[in-house]
Amino acid sequence: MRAPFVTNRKHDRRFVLGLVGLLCLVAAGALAVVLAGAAGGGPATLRAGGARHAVNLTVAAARAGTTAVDLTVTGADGRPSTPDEIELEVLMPQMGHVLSTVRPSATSPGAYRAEAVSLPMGGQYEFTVRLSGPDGDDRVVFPLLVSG
Amino acid sequence: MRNQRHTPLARFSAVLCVVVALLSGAAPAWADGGPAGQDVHVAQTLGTRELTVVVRAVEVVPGPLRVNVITHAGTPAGGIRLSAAPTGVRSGDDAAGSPSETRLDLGAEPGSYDADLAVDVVGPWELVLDDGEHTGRIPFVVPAPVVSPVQSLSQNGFLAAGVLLVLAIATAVLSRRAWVPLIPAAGVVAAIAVGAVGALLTGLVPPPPRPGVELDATVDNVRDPYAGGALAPQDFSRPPATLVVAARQVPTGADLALTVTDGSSGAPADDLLVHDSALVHLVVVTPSGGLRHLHPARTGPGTYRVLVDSTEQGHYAVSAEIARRGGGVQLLRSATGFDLGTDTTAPAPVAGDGPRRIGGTDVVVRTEGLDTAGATTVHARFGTGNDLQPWLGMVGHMIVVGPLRGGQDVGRAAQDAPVWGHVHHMVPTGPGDQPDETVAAYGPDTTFTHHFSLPGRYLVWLQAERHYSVLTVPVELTITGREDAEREEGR
Repeated sequence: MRAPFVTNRKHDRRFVLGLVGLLCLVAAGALAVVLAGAAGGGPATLRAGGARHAVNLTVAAARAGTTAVDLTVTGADGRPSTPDEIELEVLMPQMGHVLSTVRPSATSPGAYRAEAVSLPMGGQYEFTVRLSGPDGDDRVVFPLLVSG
Repeated sequence: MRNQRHTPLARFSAVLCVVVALLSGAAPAWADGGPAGQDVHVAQTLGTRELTVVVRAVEVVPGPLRVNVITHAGTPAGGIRLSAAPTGVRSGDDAAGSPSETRLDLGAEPGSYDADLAVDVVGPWELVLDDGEHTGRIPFVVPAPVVSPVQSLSQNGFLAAGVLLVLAIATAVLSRRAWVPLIPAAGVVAAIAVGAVGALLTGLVPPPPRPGVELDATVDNVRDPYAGGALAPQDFSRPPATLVVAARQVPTGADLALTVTDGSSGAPADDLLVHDSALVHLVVVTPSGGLRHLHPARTGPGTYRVLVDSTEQGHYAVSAEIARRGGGVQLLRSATGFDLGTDTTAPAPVAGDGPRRIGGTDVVVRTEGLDTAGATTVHARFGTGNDLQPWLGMVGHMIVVGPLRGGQDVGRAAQDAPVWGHVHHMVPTGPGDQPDETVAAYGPDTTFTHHFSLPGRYLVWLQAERHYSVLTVPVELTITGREDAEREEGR
């Protein structure tokens, strides 16, 4: 019987070296993906609750550029809420820049959309939704990392 | 040829030994590089009570949340309501979490009173203290166990090496073809390479930004702080803040409403960190020269409230020491201060060096280097035993205000004073968490060193805690200029 792992033939050595090399390449690729971290830039849906409302915020493209932002607002009873006023403010907290303040338009009861919100650069953003209605005012802040 | 035949076996044995050795030592290390749980100490001036709230680190989620409320001498007895509620922004189908609530009866005896709440999700939470009239909201983060991706890669590499090794041995024994065992054997080499590289990189890959400290915390980034990857900014610092003070006269003094806003956007600065055991260190100099070192309760985003127990008429100078998320402590001096009444209050006499009795404790003060040429040191001995308690994480504090112009009430002079400083006598560092106020083991000597850049008359207030009572010792210092000091030395 032939002993295993005996690699005295040239093509066996090449085979093993090639195999190890290939697997190392695969592993190096996996390592690169891990170190590079999440690419980001896709749609981001975030949820948060204020004192009187719960808000869902969807940023269609969380990367530098122009994106649509959708909001859905529900009351304490979980049903769609229609506050008298709703305002979306986009801010970069590290620089203290208020980049835009928009009034999203209603698309259906409790649903609002801001069509073209400018995100001029990558970094940490805060999307602040301010609501005011018969129940009182609310302020909900959504932190979001935006890719460059 | 003989050597050539045995070399692979020797390599195989070496690989086996290395794999066994590495696998036997590969234990999971939770929270490496992630937000390790730590106790949070927060001083709160809630109404007429000066409390220190210690939010103990959460070990398991869902699990208990232990809160210690430490009272001081003179704190009125009574019940307060404690509640914890999740406040984090989340994505996906994460559960929102449930608030929990309990009632804590504070006795007349100063000391630590304990309460247990429950937390059921990781992420940002808020602890609410409510005495029926005043509310304080303390933000804190319930951390998740975190393993860095590189460490995880290393562990998985060695795990794969072990599995492939067994497979290689099995195929070597069972397979009739010589090349079949070479495939898992090659996998062993590659997996060990991955494991070794991962292990080497574990200490080299920088930790991610800490949610709640450098970045705004969300449920997602607390659970996986590495998810942001290269998206996270490199410079976390934020603009300076603006402090606005509104005072309302009440029978016991003044009810202050403070607003902290971002100096650039003007938006509420709701990102204050707990530093030196408080969100805001408010220093108030009264018209007669008294000092109040208070810790306003956070009532909402960027809004704080505190009662100042002084009915002296005249002008009050105010400053607040804060640290915003992203780093850096700022001293915000109120440009206005506030006034009570229409009269003024005469300055109280203040001693310099020597003994005095403050709140039942003999205090001896000694100063040296009272000039601008070098460092000035103030020594104070509180009592005679080692029984000082750490207040705000320090054995002692010294607040410096000056040079003070004559002919004004002290509050007005302090408002105009160019220098306000805060000096610490630190707790000796040791292993474990920061000691709380129940540890009376420090002092009696405290030392404070400060470089005075301007000559003139200063007021400093030395503060230390003994028998659960914060002692405040005013001291007047006269700092001479460099030329005066040199002339004095030449005599």
